[in-house]
Amino acid sequence: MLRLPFLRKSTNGHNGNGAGTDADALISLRGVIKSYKTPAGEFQALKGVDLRVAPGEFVAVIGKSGSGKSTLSNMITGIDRPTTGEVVVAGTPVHKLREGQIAEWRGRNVGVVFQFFQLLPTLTVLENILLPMDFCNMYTTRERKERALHLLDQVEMVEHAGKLPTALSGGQQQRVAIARALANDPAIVVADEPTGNLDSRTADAVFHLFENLVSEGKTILMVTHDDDMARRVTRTVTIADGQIASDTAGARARVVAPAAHGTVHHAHAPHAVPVFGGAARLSEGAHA
Amino acid sequence: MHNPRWRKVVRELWLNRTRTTLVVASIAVGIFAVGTVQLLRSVILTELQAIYVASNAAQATLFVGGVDEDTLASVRRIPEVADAEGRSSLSVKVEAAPGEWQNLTVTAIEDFGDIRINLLDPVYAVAGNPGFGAERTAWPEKNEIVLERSGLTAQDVLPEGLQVGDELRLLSVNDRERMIRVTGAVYDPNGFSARFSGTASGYVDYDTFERLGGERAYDQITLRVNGTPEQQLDKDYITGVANAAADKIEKAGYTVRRVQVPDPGRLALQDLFDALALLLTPLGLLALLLSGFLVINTISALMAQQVRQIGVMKAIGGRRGQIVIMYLGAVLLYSVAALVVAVPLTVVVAGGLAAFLGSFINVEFPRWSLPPAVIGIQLLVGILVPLLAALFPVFRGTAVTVREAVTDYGVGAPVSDDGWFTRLLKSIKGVSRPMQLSLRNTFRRKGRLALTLVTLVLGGMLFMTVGSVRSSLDGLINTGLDYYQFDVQVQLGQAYRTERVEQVVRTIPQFTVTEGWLGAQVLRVRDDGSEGNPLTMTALPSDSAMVKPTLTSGRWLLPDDQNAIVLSQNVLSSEPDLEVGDVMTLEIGDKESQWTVVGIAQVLGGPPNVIPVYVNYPYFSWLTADMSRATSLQLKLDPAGGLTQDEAATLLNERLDAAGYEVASVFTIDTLRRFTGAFFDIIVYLLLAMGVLIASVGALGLAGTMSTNVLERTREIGVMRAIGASDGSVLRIVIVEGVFIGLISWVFGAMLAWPVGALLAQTVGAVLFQQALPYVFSAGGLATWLVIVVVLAVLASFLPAWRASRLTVREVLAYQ
Repeated sequence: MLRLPFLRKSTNGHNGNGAGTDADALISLRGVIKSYKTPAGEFQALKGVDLRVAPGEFVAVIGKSGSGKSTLSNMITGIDRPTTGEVVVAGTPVHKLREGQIAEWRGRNVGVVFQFFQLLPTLTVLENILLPMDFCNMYTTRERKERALHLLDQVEMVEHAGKLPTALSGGQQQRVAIARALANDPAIVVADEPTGNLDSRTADAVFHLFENLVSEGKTILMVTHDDDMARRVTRTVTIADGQIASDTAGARARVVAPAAHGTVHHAHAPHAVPVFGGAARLSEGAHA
Repeated sequence: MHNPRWRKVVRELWLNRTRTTLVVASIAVGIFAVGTVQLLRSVILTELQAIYVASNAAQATLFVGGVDEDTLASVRRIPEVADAEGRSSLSVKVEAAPGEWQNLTVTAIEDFGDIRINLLDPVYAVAGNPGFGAERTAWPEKNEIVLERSGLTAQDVLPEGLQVGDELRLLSVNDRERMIRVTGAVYDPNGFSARFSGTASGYVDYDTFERLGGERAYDQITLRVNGTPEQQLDKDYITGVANAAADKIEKAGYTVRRVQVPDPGRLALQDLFDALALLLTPLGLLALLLSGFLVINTISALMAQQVRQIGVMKAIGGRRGQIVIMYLGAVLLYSVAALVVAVPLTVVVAGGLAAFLGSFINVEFPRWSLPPAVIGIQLLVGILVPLLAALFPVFRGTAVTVREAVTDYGVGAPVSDDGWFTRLLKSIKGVSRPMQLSLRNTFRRKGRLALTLVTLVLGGMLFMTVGSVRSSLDGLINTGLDYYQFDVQVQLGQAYRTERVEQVVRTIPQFTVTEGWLGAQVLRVRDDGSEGNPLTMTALPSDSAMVKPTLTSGRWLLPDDQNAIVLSQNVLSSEPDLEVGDVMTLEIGDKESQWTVVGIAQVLGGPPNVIPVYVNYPYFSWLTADMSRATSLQLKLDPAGGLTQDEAATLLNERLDAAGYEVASVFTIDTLRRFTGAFFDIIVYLLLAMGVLIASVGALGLAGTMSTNVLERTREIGVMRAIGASDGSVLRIVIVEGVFIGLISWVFGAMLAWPVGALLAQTVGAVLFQQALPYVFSAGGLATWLVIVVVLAVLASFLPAWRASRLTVREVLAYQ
């Protein structure tokens, strides 16, 4: 049986308010400034942000609209580049990568979840999950399919594998999007307003998926403006006017001890896949 | 196909069938245009060459007066003559319908089993005439005739429903009725098509020929020459051999009326097809270029629609190179689909066009041929051009960053508020708000608009230009035929006293004016002693009312002119050194004389390979001691006299014959007009076909642009509907935009149509007639295209407009 590396497990829990050294940080931003030229003049979205995230943390980035929280997450995923400053993710200086390198690096190291799901409309659910593996040339063809079906099983979408995204509700689409983010087994998942387009019950279910991922050892950075969600994470970073206004441990800090979880070899899987907390299977409510 | 990338590509081609159809059609048009031109060219030229070789076409023909077998044998003995054959022709009447008599050219052949030059090909089936389908053609014996096949499909020249075994009712030269049995049909590739000449022709033995009033003597000698392969293609060499044969015939006491040496290695109308190929090739390339523009436009639009997906693919690990290959792969699939459509279409259409052209010139081109070279060009063009055209939009489209892609939301594409054009549009007052919206929408995607306009403008321009070329060709016919102020011309077998022949003419009161001219076949003797092509010298009164010459340089003949000569423009193609003021030496009969070139005249029509020159009658008649004599009669007909030109000519022929005058040929201006008209029709039809093709590329472009515009503005349309726009309003806004683009293209096309039309007319004139056409701009073409472009614009925008008007607000605002 072929075994594949799965979760890059955290050995370190939450580190409070962003303290900690660069050496043990999975994500490290130093003096990040991001400016945009607009017809109205230059606009600074980030004004010298320093942030370190340790492996296994579940970080919520909150702030008002236009505060710079999405820009911050874009810095981490390599979707955007800092005007000045450094962004090091999983040991890679992302700000130094060329555009062509970034895509492949991201595909292998960071799972991205969007507010509007962004599933490719002409591919089936299964194919959407196969696509990142195909792009990054991960796994054999057979393994890809098995892995994709497992991921779908974990988000309770396996029976929808052959459907096109338009046949799914918003919550279902977001679950597929999360499965897709995990396709190449990245250590980090960055989600930009992942529940922003869902009703509260579905949002809660999706959030629960994230919690389970953290319990499996994933590091999650979630941009949200939902204070209730923010209270349930291990750490909350508040952005205001392009600066970190506060960085606090969330209400559920240390609730999940990452070290207690780790790679689980699923009984049916040829290789390791993440398990979303066993009993915490998703049961979605109303469609978004 | 396990790979989800390629599944995405293929599925999107299928799911976006309208767009796929448009792109495939755009590419197919280019492949089709280039392929059709190439195939036509290849099929026609290959076939003409094959026919030339297979028929062992005469390299020279001498038109002589009644040569006997011994003289023909002496011609064969000339060392440079490989072979020589004699034939005789005369014109009789055939009853094409009860009481309707038509001319029939009958040619006598000594031994049908031993035809060696200008071979006749027995035909066992004649398209469009089942009466010749089943039975085998047999060579005719006494009182039998085998017909040239083109007469069986031309209109009104032979009895309808004619079958092998039927008898034709003929009127012999001396007006005797003769019943002649039809033994079948032959194909004579070296004769003129009945469709061109308006006269059927047939072949008989000499017994039948005599019964029809002919003589047992040859009036045409056809030659093949001996020589090296180079000499076989050397017109001067062949002319030299033909002139030697002519000398021999003259020494035997016979007259040689004309020596005809066609361009070696070519059928008579091959020049026309060379010229057409020369014209069609750039038009085919233009269609290809425009199809490339369409691909750029459509792929740009496709890439714009795919921005978000490209961003997402990059977000989940897709590298730009991978994504570029995906989209180029899609383009390759479009190309393959376009090839599947275009290649068979090319075979069908080019085959049809070749058949159509062949019907004019009595050639059956192969219907279903596709030479490997043509398919190679189509493959190359069909794959390379779209890929090259798509490179720029694909590279630009895939350059989008994930951030740009996933933050692209909101209503429509942003419109810049600065720039004079936007201000100008904003300043337009007095039109309704939806109309203003249409106008402003038109200019939102300026790059796309520019490419759409280029295709529509060029398509429209060419369409309008073809109208002008046609008018110019008509102008050339009118100017050219204007030269001929007479209606009927009779070529006599020898010089007769003009006054006596005129007595016969006067028996037909419908002829109002008669003028006698002298003519002779002459040769230019160049300074180095070599002889040029035979020239047909016409000696006429300088103040003749029978001609109205158009001079390109110099002057026409004056009453006091003696050795002055006016050359036709055609002389210059074989004697390019000559110009006004030069003195040239001509051999007339056995004598050489000096002539001063005083003018160059434009001459259109007349028999092929006849190169006319004009001199003053009094001087020439003195020189040849033929004073008061004529070898031809030019006659004007009273239009109200109740006789057509053809009827009058036939009647005169009969009367002259009856009076004992030898008539060599009769020629009417109506025949010339028909002949030239058919010739020009070929050019106009082909140009029109290319115009329609290119205009359809423009229409495809507009349809693509409109559907892309609507698709891009789906959200915007939803907003309009949410704030109260009715189905009709949405429909109107989109259609007005399409019509507006059409109108802009019409304005630019019309502006270009005048100069480009002039250029095209000049080119057509230069390649076909070695002279510029008198340019006549066709306003009718402008108006026709205006109507067509508006209709096209409405049709091209209706489908996207209708789709837009069907969208519900909920669907539209959920549109991603």
